[in-house]
Amino acid sequence: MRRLTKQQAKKNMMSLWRDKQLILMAIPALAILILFNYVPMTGLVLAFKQFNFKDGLYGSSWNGLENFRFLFMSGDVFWRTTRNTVMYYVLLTATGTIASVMIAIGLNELVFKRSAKVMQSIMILPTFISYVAVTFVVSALLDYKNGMINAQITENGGKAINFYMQAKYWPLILTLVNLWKEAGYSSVLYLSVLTGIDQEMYEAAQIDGANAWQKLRYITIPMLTPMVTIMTLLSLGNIMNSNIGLFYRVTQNVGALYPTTQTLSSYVYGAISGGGGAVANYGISSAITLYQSVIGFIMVVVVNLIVRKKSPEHSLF
Amino acid sequence: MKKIKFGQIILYMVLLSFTVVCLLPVILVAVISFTSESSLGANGYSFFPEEWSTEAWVYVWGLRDRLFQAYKVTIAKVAIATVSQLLIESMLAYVLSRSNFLLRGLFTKLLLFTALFSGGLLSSYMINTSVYHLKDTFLILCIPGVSMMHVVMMRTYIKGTISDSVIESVKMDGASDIRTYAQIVLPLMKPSLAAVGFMTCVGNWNEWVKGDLYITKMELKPLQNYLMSIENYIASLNSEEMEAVAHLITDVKVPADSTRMALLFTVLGPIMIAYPFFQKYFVKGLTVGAVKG
Repeated sequence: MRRLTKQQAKKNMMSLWRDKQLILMAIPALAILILFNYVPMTGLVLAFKQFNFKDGLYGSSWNGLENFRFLFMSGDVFWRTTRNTVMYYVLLTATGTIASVMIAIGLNELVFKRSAKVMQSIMILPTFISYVAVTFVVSALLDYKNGMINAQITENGGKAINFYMQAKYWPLILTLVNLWKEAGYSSVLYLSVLTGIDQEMYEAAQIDGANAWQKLRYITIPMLTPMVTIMTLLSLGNIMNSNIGLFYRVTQNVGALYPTTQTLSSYVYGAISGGGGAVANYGISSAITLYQSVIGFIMVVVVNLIVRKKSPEHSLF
Repeated sequence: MKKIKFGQIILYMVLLSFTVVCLLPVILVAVISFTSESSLGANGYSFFPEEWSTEAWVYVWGLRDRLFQAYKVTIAKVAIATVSQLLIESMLAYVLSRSNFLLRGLFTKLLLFTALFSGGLLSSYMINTSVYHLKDTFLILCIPGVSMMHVVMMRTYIKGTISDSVIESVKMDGASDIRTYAQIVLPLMKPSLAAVGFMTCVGNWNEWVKGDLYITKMELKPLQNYLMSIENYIASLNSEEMEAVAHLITDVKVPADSTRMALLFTVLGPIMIAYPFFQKYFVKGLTVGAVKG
């Protein structure tokens, strides 16, 4: 038995020696992963420490679960940011999916194919505009003094709305910005599923006397359902993370908007960059990050189990 | 038959209006950049300004030294980060495509776990600044990432387009793995490289977090962050108490709104120009990535 394992080990060593160039080629990628993905994971110990700048990351003294206790007790900020994070996840995923599926079906049904192509190209364009630029564009529309929407309101005898001071408008604003930026892009994937549907199915339905609506209801939508399910399930892993471009930049990190715009990610970002509002407490921010990462991890693993049962070829691992 | 035609026209109009909505904000920004300041002051932003003007663009031209510096930093970091990321990811993809490689499973797991669990932005920030000392260095802007999605896309592409027997026979003829990768695999995976490359490139171009967190020196700021600092400057001037002060200090020249929008085009312009050329690769690449191998 021992001899066999020795032989096996020797064989393995030889095989590795044969593939030494493969190992060499993997080293740059592994080095990046270790230096910039794995080593930073150790930074999460900060969640259990009382951070001070003098002693640094590893030197600061431990304080057990104090940061978490503070987090849960501080109530307002923690629950509010968690609620916003989850609420926006649901809101943006639901509206985004519905819109991109509708766009994909629309583009697929359109008989003017050349126009459809041009439209698709233009719809994808906003994806490539940075959030820094989007912030400018949004302020061009919403600015209190000069914004185009307020110009329209005052022209029609209304009173200008100071959007950057009124939290209640922002769930709608951020949803629209997100749709504008992402819907065209996500529809590409659904459109690729639709173009892959066998046309004979539609012809057969035609012969059986199905109308356009029935074809949509009984062929197109069922064919799209698996992809929609998979994409939604996969996105669940990111339920606790939100786009800081959208929630930190576009809102311009205005304190008055926090009640409806501050998410866990934008809180942490605020703490790092020292922006107003968020208390620059690294220990607490680290506790929030750990909380995000652990829930995200559990979500991915659970979701992957479900996906693997439903359709193994789409599972992540 | 007539009814179907009618439905098509409705559909066309609906899709067209969304397309227009996608484009309008960009057009609005362009129009504002060509609007005269007095007309902005009187009517606010509008698609149909009373008076056109190029003064904003003249002002931007006046900033050309600063802008040129920001462009230099941005182009250098985008080029370095994108090329090195493509190289590193494609090499790993090739390694993971060799099915009889002993460490394939281990390397795959190492890659996968980074997609599942992350130390978060704060931990990275702490490590990068206090352990690696990368604050205010050009290097931090150039460091490539290794994305699981990209590697899986590339590996799928390699497995799908280059059969194992081709690679085996090349190696039988005495080619090493590095030569096989460089001379056979890399040229054949061009479409996949173009798709991933364009995404990475745009991502790097639009990236603003690193410049915001790590860079305080003005001469190292990429374009996005140069724009952000102008935006922040204006925001501070617009707050009421500052406005009162600004009136007192007469020599402070506040960049006009039209100027901000003109500056925006220095960031948007290159993407708008490059996009049509890469568009077809991009749609193709996205579709390929959806099919897992």
